[in-house]
Amino acid sequence: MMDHILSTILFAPFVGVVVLLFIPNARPLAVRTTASIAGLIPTLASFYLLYHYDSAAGGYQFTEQYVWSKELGISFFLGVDGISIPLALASSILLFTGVFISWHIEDRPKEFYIFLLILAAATIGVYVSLDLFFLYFFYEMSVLPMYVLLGVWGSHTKGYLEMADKEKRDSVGFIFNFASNSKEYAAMKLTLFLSAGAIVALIAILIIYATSGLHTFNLVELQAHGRVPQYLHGILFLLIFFGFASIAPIWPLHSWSPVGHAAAPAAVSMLHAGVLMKLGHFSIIRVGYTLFPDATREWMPLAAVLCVFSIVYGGLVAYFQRDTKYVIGYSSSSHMGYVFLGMAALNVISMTGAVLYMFAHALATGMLFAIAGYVYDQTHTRDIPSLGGLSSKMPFIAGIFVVAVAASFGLPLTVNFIGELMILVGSWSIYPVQTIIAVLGIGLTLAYLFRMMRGVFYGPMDPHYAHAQDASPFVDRLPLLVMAATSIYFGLFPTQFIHVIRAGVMPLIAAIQGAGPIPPVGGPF
Amino acid sequence: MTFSVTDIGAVLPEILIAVYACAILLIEPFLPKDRREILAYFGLAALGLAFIATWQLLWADLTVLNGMFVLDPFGNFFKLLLYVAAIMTILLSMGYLRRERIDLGEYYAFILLAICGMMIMVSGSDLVTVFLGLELMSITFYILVGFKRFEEKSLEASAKYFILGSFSSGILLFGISLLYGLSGTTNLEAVALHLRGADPGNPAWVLAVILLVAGFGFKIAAVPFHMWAPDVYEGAPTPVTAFLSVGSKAASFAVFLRVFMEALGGIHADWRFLLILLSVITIVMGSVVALVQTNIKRMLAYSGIAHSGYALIGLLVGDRLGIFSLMLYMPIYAVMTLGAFGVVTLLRRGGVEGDAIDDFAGLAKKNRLAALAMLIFMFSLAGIPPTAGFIAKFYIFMAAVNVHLTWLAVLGVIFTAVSAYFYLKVVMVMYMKEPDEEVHLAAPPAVVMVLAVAAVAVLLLGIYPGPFLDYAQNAALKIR
Repeated sequence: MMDHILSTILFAPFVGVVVLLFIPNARPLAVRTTASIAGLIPTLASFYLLYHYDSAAGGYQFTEQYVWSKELGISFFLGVDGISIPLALASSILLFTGVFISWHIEDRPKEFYIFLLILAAATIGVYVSLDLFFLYFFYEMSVLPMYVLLGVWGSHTKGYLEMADKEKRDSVGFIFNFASNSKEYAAMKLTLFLSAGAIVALIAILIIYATSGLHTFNLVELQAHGRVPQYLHGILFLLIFFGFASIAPIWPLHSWSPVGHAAAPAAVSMLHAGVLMKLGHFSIIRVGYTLFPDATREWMPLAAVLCVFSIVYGGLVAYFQRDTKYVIGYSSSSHMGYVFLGMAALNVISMTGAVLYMFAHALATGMLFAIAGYVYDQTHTRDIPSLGGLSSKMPFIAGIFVVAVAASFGLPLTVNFIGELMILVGSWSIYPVQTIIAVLGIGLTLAYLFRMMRGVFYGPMDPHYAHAQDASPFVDRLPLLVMAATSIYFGLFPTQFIHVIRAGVMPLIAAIQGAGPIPPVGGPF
Repeated sequence: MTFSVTDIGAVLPEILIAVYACAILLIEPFLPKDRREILAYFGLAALGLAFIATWQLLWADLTVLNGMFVLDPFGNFFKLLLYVAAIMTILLSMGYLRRERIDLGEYYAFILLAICGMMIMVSGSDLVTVFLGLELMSITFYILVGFKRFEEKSLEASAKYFILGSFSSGILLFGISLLYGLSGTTNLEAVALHLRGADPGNPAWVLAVILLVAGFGFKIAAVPFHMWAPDVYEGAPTPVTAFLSVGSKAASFAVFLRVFMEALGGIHADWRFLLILLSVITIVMGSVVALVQTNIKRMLAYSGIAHSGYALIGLLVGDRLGIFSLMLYMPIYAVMTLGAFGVVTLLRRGGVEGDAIDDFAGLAKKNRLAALAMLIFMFSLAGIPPTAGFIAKFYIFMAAVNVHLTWLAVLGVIFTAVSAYFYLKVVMVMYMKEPDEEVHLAAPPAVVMVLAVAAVAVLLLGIYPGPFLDYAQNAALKIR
């Protein structure tokens, strides 16, 4: 069992899928229980990984390798390092909590959970794959369930009824032949964006395969012995960067993301914002940083510029949204800019912070989306101005929301604080201007989240919502408590986490710094 | 001319199929009208026996009948694929023919004759044999396409296919005769030998190659020789469309590959450019025109055209990886396309056969399993893991990048992304639109079996293709 812990994490959801296939929809409790068990196993196993990863030794651990196609150099090669463990943990936690968040879905729950499990398993698959073929395989695989989950169980976004009018369709909506605020539009846009990004990265992967002289997709071997010609490094890194960054989503490739968040059911938004977007950052680190340290050093200053746009643009747009899910969706886009800033600074502190922040953000945004979904279930609206005063009706939800807001803008005691602080401390010496803007961005986060909190939970209450109820004792409270508790626990005791992440980050940074100094600030950027 | 027992043994599968086809024609008049379904089982038995015979000869490698016919793992690979396609076609046909009131016994004889032609094609080591097989296949398809003889669309399709098809056969024959005039032989190996000493700059060679490409290009529906495909696919009875788009295409690709690799492999550099051009416009045209189709059969026709373009990449790369990737592509394309057409045979609109994409509306409610299967096929055609379509495309692009045709791979992946749109549209209509009539669409058990087998095969080949890859790889070794 312990030798196969990564397969356990990866395949538990898939086994859940197979079991679900044989449970009829007429027995929803059995369906939901099976799904929650399929989510619990990877969560527990991921915690085991976190505490048993030998950070003194570093490198890839818990590796498993099975030949898949010997002739073509593809093997099913699993392994984790300090960067993938937190993300695999985040995926598992969000899957587990997501199962409970979607407990009340009545429309074909079995199919819903099947696709939810596939989605989570695919993201875990990316985090634990050490073979480029399978990394890409799982990456693309996450597209399929997203499409169906949005299209079938999603909801139309703001002002759908007005937009159903054919005259008001936007240009893309016209081509797609459905209104630009419909869930179908969101699903299709998301799928096309992700596929397009993925194939850009696929081209890079194929070129790496063809030019490395090794005829293998094995990342470890490619890193050690690959002989990709020097002149290709820059272009390959850019292909990888923009291919994967479209899912991250970096400005200006972000436009699919808020729409997708808003249209998705709560649990899907959680996984989408919590882990799907991090596939982008992770894959850039795993493929780009690992294989092309020299090109990383050369091109990451570009990311340092783009991330500022992400932070400021996302924050400003979030402030002016009426729809709760759009606020959180744009806030996620904005917060992903911090991760890019931390990655761009290329030192151990900021990179460690970036990875930690990805984990932290998954929990914080997971709580926010879960609450937005819960409020929507109770009131059937996500329009902030028409809501208000719900804290008297649902004190527990309001309380968790305060925790989520605190985590989101990085209040001390939450793990977000530590991640954010490390990013800012690490990047200060490299990119002072961007760091100052990022700090101002925190103020922006505070502004739009407080605005949302005031609009939804405080102020006068519309009597329409008098029937709204607080979270039920177990099913609704458990997932929120798990996320809040994890966030606070690691905010208080982050040491183990930071050790693990540092073990993953250090060799990367050493390779990048060894390739030469980072270009001076004030150069082209 | 000498015959030996080995010669007979080597062509045993072909003989079996031909004898059964004749037997069906003979038995048919003596059967009462309502018992004709028995003939379908006859056909299945023939294919089953031929499958066993080919399985026994799987790794044999001999040239028989005075060098006219070759039995090798490469040909057997395609024959197995063709048997499976034909078996699935017959299973799809049984209920369909009854419903459309065209349940005539000779249908199954024609299916067997068509596959017999395809088998001769893939085993031909002489241009004459190749042409013979190709004509046998084509002529039976002209009839099969017009089998719904009370419907104008079907007859029109048949006439169109016949006229264009004969024209393309003429072009192919002209190419063959030029090749014969230049080398004095029609044997593929002898042509290759002759080519070694010849001056490849001779314009007659160029012309011969162009004519051959045009002739084969018609059969695989490569742009600009594709004009027939959408109309014929739309007009033909749906199981025939399935068989045409899968069997005919696979066999034509096999013979395309054999002729160009064995006979003309020496001037690979010369015809490569031509095929690159063909492949690019085929991919672009197929994917772009498919975007605006409203009829599922026309959409699948254009999708098939685009897939021919991808498969051509494997052929034009021409090294071991290229051939292997093409050989992998064909069976995968076959199962997913057959499956998709299988779902189409179930569609009804107001009591008659439905073939508009809108007829898929609410299929998820009308027949859950069919909708799920269609979802798998559509994702596979779009090349999204964990389906087989992804594996197929992945190897094709890998083969292209491997010989530094990176730009071609880039173009291919871009249009793969474009194509995702129209495949997913079908999924959307199935799952996200409400049905206009609340009826349960019952699927006959034979169709359910085909869909289940195809769906499982698509997933299995997508997740664990290892053994199949090994088999394809060993079968690809024979061709240089």
